[in-house]
Amino acid sequence: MSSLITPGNLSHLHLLLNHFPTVGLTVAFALLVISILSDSEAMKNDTMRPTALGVLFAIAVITLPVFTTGLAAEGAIEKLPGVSKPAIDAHENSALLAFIVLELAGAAAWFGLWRWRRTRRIPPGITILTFLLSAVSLGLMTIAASIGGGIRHPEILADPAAAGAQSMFSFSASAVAFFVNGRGHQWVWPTLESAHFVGMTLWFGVLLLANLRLMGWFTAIPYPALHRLLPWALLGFGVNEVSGMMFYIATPKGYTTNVVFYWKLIFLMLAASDLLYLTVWPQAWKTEAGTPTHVRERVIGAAALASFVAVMYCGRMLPFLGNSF
Amino acid sequence: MSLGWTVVLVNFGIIIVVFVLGKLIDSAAERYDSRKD
Amino acid sequence: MEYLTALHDSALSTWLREAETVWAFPTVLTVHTLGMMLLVGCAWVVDLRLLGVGRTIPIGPLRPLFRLMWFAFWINLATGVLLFIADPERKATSPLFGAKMLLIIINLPILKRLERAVSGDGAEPAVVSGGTKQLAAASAMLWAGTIFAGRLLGYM
Repeated sequence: MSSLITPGNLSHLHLLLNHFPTVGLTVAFALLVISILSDSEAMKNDTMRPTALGVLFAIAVITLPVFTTGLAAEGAIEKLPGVSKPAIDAHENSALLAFIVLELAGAAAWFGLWRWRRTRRIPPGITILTFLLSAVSLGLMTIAASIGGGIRHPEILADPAAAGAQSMFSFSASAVAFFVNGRGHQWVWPTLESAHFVGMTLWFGVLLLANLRLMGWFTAIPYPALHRLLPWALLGFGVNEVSGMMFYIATPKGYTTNVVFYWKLIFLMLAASDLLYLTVWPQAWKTEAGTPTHVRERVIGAAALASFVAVMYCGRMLPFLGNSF
Repeated sequence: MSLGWTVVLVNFGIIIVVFVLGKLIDSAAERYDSRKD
Repeated sequence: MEYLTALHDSALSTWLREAETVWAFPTVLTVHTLGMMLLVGCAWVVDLRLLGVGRTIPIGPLRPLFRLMWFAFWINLATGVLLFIADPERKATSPLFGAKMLLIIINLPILKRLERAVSGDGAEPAVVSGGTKQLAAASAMLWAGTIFAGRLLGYM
């Protein structure tokens, strides 16, 4: 498996995945705008807008490996001739800001879906917030993509002043790295690790109970009551995404060439998919107290729990399997 | 030792922030969920 | 202390520490982490509910979570013993280790009290006493402290 982690494959994976926060985000944004412009109540609250929010959330999730493969690709190509290092740095910093805003847009989209499932409508405030965040994110992604194109295009590099120009719309990755690694900052890494455990236990606890209910345990509890706890799972995920990104940006080399980390990302995306399923799936929502559950829900629940354990396993075993640290 | 206390302090801060945010969201749900839960 | 040194030199301790296999120290540590995830994860949910979050969740039916928590506790006690055996001298003399054990020992009777508080069949409207709320908050903070002490142990 680890033989698949080659510089060529990592770069290729990045170039493949980066279509999601660009092309995909454009589509999601367009769907959202159409749902806003439309007069039809059905478009707003039954079909188009929830779909737009769902797609936006999915794109926010998949952009996590977009960013991580980007750092991996940097490691793979930065020493090659004809590659512009300033362009790589400029691209990384603008991509980081774009990524942060996109994740916030994804979180807002999730809240819209959570409210929609609970009350059959999406609060206008959340629609506006999601619109603004995804619009800004789309703009920032366009800038990041444009700079990224200059990393290895000879026709762009022909004008060295243009290539690698740092956009003011950026978030310094090296500042993050300095915060984590800098002299006198020994408290940061252990603090982030503890936070990572807190977030992990929180999202696991909530999603464990929700999935167990759909698998047929705790039948006296109506599922909609457990559904109300789902924001706590998102908060847990949020703490872990922030701390995880800080680990990653500070010491990419420990992760980018370790196949176990890529497995962790895959299982993480499965866990996020389970969160989306728990949030919007009609058959889950209709599981009242005493309602029996179906085979499909049991299978999904079991797969979800397995993926949670797999995320933890991959994370915990990183130093031992593969070649981290 | 002071490193340990920094870890503890910052993390309790994170826990408090998460708790406050979560409580706000849950209170909003209590108010706006007109449907039977 | 000689018995700690003897423990350190024992076959089990040496195997846990130095065996080139992933089934030694890494596996024990991972199972310990899984137990923590289960124990503290369920604790967060119960404590949050007792603190008034998710009021539409009937409290009594949450009782089976305590069975999960005790199961996880025993797993972590067992793996914790193995982790201690792998490095007995440093653990035994570490204030962090002592702190972690103390936090757990204080939390165990609280966990039992909370288990008794989470009773009934959920038919009555759930009224959580102020005392129970305080216990729930205290228990949650003790678990958090246990996690931090455990994490910091890895840095000694």
